[in-house]
Amino acid sequence: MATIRKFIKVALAGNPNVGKSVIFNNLTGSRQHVGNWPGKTVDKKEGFHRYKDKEIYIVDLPGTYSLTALSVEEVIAREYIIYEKPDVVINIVDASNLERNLYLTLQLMELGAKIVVALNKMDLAEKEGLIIDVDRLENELGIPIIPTVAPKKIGLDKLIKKTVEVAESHKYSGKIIRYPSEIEKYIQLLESIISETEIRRIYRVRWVAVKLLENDSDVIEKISKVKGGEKVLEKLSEIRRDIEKKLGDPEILIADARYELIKDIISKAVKGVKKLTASDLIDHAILDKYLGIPIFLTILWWVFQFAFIGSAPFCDFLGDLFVYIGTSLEGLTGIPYIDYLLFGEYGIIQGLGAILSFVPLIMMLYFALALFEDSGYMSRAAFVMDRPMKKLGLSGRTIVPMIMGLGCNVPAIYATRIIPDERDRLVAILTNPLITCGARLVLFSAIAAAFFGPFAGDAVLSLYLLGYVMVFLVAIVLRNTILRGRPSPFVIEFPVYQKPSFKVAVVRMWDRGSLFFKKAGSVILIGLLVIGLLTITDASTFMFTDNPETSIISAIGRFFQPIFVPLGWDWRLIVAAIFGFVAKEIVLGASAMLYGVGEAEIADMMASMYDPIDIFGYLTFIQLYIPCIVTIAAIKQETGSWRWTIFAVVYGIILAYIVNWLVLIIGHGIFG
Amino acid sequence: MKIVYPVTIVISFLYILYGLIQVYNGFVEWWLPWTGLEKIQLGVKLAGTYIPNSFPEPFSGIFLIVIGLVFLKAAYLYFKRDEKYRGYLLVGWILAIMMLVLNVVVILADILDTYYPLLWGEEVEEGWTLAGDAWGIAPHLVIGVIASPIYFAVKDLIRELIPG
Amino acid sequence: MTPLGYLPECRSGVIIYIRGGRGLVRRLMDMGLTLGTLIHMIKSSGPGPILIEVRGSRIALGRGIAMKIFVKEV
Repeated sequence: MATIRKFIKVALAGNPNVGKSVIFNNLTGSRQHVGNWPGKTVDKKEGFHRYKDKEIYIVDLPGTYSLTALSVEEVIAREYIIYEKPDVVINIVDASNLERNLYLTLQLMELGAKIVVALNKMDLAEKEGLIIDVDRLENELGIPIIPTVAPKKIGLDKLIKKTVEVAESHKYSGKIIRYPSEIEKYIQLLESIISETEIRRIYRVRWVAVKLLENDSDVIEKISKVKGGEKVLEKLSEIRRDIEKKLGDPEILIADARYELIKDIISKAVKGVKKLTASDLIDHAILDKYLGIPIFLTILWWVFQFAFIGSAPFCDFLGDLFVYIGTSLEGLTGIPYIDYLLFGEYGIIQGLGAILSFVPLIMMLYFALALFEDSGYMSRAAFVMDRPMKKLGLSGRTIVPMIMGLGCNVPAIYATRIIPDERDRLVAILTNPLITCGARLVLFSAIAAAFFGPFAGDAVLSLYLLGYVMVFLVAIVLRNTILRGRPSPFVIEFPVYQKPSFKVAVVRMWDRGSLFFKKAGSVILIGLLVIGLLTITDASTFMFTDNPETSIISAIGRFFQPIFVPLGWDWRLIVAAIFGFVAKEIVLGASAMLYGVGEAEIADMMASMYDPIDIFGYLTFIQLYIPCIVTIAAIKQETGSWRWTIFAVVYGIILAYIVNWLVLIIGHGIFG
Repeated sequence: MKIVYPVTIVISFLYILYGLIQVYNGFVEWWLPWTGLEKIQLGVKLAGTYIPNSFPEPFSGIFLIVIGLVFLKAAYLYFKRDEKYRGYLLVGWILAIMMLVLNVVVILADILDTYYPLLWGEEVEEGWTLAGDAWGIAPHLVIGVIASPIYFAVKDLIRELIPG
Repeated sequence: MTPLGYLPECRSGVIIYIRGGRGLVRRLMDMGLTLGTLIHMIKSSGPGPILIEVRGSRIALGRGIAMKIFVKEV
């Protein structure tokens, strides 16, 4: 006999930084899934919570300050509430920031949703000297309010209990927000006109009336498509003209009215004055005129040292492990073709190992960055770096993906989601591959050590600097040509500092790290397979060959050789670069194989064939040319367009070619 | 606590001093190898190496200096009776602890890196030694330990930052 | 009446005028910056964004925007 479970649909809404994710995680635990809102690059988090005999399906809506039509997040949030009609909307409100948080609450109430407020961060409000009369607040708003302290899970049981209660009751006592009478009469006029049309079947009439007066472009467009909508819109222009003549801009009037209402409520329900907090004191130091940027650089350096050195043993371990697996399985199948492909020195297993040995580095990087994000420092970093970044044509928030690119470009490109302006974001995505990722570091270090002796460190450093210089140059060019536009207004909220949660950082590290792992793993596997096949297939007989000189891939290399004559490459370097297209780490191994020597000797071999300037030029090419296929896949996903992806690939190759050539000319010019 | 003032100045001085030494050593090692200049070590000789070990890395040195400057500003504001000194003291302390932890992580990672082949029975020819470690017990650890008691001067601020 | 960008640190002002397009005004309104709102200047030294306290929360604004918001010091 199956238990009949009631199914309740709940949405979580609230400002950014109010602790929504913590509450979501506490409620859903492992029963959650992160994906994308269809057609948009915004995370969608959904999950389940079991309460007695009921299953509660929870969707975490994007954090928003308001429900206008100006940003993707706001449109997603309100469309979910309107069309998906959740049974309850849990509005998470930051008790230490009531005034601004209630602005969204009022709009949710206007939308007609059944709301339960989770008054979060009660402990913080207390520390700041605020005394909140929750019962009074409940009375004033007419909706249930449950105090919570999310990290300690205080209040969550009551929250769920109340939510279920509200979901199952048919009564809902939320107050209808009445605006000052001058505006109210126009709203009611509009309401009566709207009620005569089909609009009332789909949307809440009052909400539509208010939004039309607020000149909400999304609502206007949707109304125009409904029968009777045209007439409403005509009447709307009349009304607006009337208001503007007599009272002023309706949008501003309505926003002001809301804030007035909030002020009134707060004066009745909240007492106390905020004192100078630890957060403010820290900010004075962090945002210090002279020390702000140095502190930022210090923290940056720390993140890198921590991630690179801390993960090194795990990376080495994984690398060795795969080599061990590969060599011990060698000759297993007895079929040379498959054997070589799978277990050979440059076969799939070991190639995969080379790449997966990266994962600890990425995880550590993510972990460290998550700690800083959670602590609240990231927004300060964007603030501190905004002005210098602006000078270089980038927005302050671009600094985060630029930092992450030093570990791996793929997660860095996903991280560009934090940049609100589309054009800024596109510039950030297109320039990110120019930043030296960990894979390239591995390659450069090995080659530099053999070629440049005591100056190896300088050589590698100059490649890093080259990458960054190119990022700025390309950004400036893009911003002045195809991606021209005014820089978006810089408005960012500083959440209060808090001790970062180890658990949250680990969860985020795992989430993002495993995402990379899955994506990279599958894409690279295919790439290795293809390249492996091309390398062991003889170009003329299509039979197995263990002599790469006669393989298809060498034919391809030789085919392109004429183009690279000015750069002084032979076909083997071209082929190695093609290998690098799959994954940069395998360039060295590939070169070794192509020259017929072991990986330990390849550097010396190349030293005998090329002079340091030529090799440095080659390294600059590798630094700047197309990103690895996983990065390309990430670019495609985040830009949503083949056009930009192809552009990224093409401009990279051209830029790399030119710079390589310049290096040769200047280098040989100086040193002969 | 009045003792905070001189202690902060001493800590600031230590960070700046060792920062400068690291920068100098870094220059000598990386960029001016041909001049034959000697590296500087200022510390106690123990187990074949110095404590603290001012390993040659200019960037590390620069950032030690930054921490020293943060403490210096804290002392300066304290001297001027400006309440804001506590923020700088707290930030300095946090950075100091971060560097201490980093040093520990580096040593642990180096040890792990040396001995993991044992997991599949492989011989480890060269064991890990303090002297052979790239960082060893660096100023990050030593001065970090010296700076840790600053905790007591900023205890209440830290309490505010912990949720709940 | 002075642009917000010129309001000295640790002083407060009331917004009396915002010069900007619909989008900007809307954005600011959503963050709580409306006419008549009290703003407290936390940090304004040097070039670069300013940090203000408004309606109980801390917001950082680019200087460009700060120059479009006019306040009366109180």
